[in-house]
Amino acid sequence: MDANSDNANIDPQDNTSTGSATSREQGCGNVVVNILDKIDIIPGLNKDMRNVTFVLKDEDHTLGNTLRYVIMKNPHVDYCGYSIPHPSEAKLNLRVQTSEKTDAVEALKKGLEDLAGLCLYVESEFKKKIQESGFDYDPDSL
Amino acid sequence: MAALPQKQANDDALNLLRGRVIIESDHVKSVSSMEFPGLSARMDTNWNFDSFKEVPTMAIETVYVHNNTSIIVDEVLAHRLGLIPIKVDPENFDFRSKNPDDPPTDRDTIVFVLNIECKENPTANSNERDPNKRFINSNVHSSDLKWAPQGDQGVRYENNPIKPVHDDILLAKLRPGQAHCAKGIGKEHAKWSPVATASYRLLPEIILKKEIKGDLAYKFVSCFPEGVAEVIEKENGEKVAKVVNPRKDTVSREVLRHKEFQDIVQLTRVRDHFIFNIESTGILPPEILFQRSIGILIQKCAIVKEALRRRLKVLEEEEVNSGGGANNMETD
Repeated sequence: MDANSDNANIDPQDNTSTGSATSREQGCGNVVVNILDKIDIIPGLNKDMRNVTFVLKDEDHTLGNTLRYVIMKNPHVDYCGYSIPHPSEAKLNLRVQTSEKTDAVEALKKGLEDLAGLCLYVESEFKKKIQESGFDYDPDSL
Repeated sequence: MAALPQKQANDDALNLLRGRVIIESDHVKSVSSMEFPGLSARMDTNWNFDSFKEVPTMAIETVYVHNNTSIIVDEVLAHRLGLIPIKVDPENFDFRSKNPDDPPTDRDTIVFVLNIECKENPTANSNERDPNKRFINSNVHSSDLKWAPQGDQGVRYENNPIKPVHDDILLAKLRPGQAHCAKGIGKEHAKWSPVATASYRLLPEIILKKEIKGDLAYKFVSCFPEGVAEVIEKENGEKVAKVVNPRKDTVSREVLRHKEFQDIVQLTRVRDHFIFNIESTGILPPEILFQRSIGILIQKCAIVKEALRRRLKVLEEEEVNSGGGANNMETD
């Protein structure tokens, strides 16, 4: 939702004044990291990118653990683990080591796609089920 | 409910997960329970605790106190106001700007006014002890928060006025102010959490290694909450115990206290069958909460994927700029 420039301005002391709204940042929380700083790639000793540590900013166990699980399901991945080195630092290290058939970047990409696909599937199945079994569910109620 | 084959779970989990999402019709008004056989514990944990804390809601954030002569001090009153669930779909609002100099707008802020005064009730008996009768407005409830529509909010919410989810939340034993409502997420403060409780558990499984007959069968049944097990009569007239609905089991393990059952009953859990419970605060129905939390997970994937793509591009450019010097680096 974009803020329109003709929005009414709410002043704590005076509710009648008007003003323009500034554009709002996108993201699912108040804390938004620049997308370029979102991820860092720390390659291992070899240049072939098979063993890589990804550093994700502003992510927690939600993505870390889920991604780790999904990436480990990839048969070409030898190892995947994650850690959050310090709880007050919004930083997540994701280590991916793969066999020769793929590389860590591909494995992470596939992991992200698989996870999103899985979520989409659960979502669509959920919608289907909830509509057919007659719950008192009304998507238009909101 | 048929027992789910557990070995398969290891074969190709992703493919297996597809097609095994089942939702049990167990919906009690605003409380719903959903089942996801075949999902891993990790997936569930994430929807459970983490995604919900990122589903936004609206909550009172800034309280401007003009005159508060009540016994409840300003900051305590502000905190109590903050915790009131506000019935409005946060999808229609933006997050407040991080810049404190930006003025609030009707797209990111809801205004409530609380103006109430306690007076002696002139018609009350002079010996009256009940404060409800002796005074007018002796209790301040959430229904006393009056919504002051800003901009076109009055038009947009004409049919669905913004108000607290419950009208009877006791705010104070008296007296006044004005409050601003902003969008936030539970991760930052629990007042923005859309759920009262969200939890999951594994489906309990009760395995009988041997048939339990006769009186013992009745004893077995009595070890469980009603509806978990039953005594049934076989074709030859023999009475045996049968597990009917392990879902109702509270996992009290009572049955194992009895020596006669210790060796023949095994209590376990179906490792990949999850029963998911979401209790909403009333702002958003649990069905919507669930879908939004999945949406957030999908969004996270998309953001990281895009960030990865851009990072790779930057790395590539750097490599080109450095004249491929990095390629000459010796590696072991």
